[in-house]
Amino acid sequence: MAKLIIAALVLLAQLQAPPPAQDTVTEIRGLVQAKLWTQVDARLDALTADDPAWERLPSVLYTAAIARQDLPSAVARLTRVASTTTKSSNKAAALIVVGRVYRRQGDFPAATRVLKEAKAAAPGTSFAEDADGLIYEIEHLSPGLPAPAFSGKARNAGTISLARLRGKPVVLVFWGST
Amino acid sequence: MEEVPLLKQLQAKYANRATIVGISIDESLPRADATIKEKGMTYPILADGKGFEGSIPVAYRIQGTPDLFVIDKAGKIVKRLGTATEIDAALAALIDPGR
Repeated sequence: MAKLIIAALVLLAQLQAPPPAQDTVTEIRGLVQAKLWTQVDARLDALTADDPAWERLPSVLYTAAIARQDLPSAVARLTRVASTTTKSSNKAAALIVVGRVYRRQGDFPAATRVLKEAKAAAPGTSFAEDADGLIYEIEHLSPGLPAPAFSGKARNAGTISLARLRGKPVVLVFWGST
Repeated sequence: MEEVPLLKQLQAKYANRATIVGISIDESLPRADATIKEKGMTYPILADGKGFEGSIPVAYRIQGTPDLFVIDKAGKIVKRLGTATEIDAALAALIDPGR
């Protein structure tokens, strides 16, 4: 009898426990892939800003915002999450995607400001590393900036120096053996 | 890697008007050399065997391949591409901007 009661209690606990973050992310990603926007929004509305799924959901939202051509509403939702959550990782993850949106829109100062905020929210984490990387890209790899210099002996030709290729366009192709 | 034939075509097409430079992110130089030979890469390839930690991939913040940068004749970044299929249009615009 006691075993039965325990089993019933365990079942009840499972029914009431929120789904693991991974499931939530997978589910919403599926809805995004199916372009079921109303359901995506309803599912997101139901999450609190502290839901652990928000660590990974912002990048799903980014994909969705591009697909539905609505970057501003994604920024609004992520800004709301960032300003209301008590979890530093949720805040950083949301702000990183806000920064990516601003960068995509060409607003580099706003992107840099938000990415620095993301870094400050979760110092020493992979979120801070991501933010640093994006700031580096904005500051060093944006269109119009001088391409980082390099030179070296080619495996199949003579020495290649980017500076010495001036005067003609150059295409750099990064590749790996597969 | 399936883009090598296209890159070879483009190199032939723009022979004296643009330069294609390949940068290997292989962690093994013999492996890179074998691929260069096997694929018959005709454009110059730089490799240091350090993978994504090599100085050039780090400077360009490469996290996956293929990743491409189009640079104009003044050495400035024009755009970053995820595939070789857009190179032709990008180079044509740089070489003959009026077109």
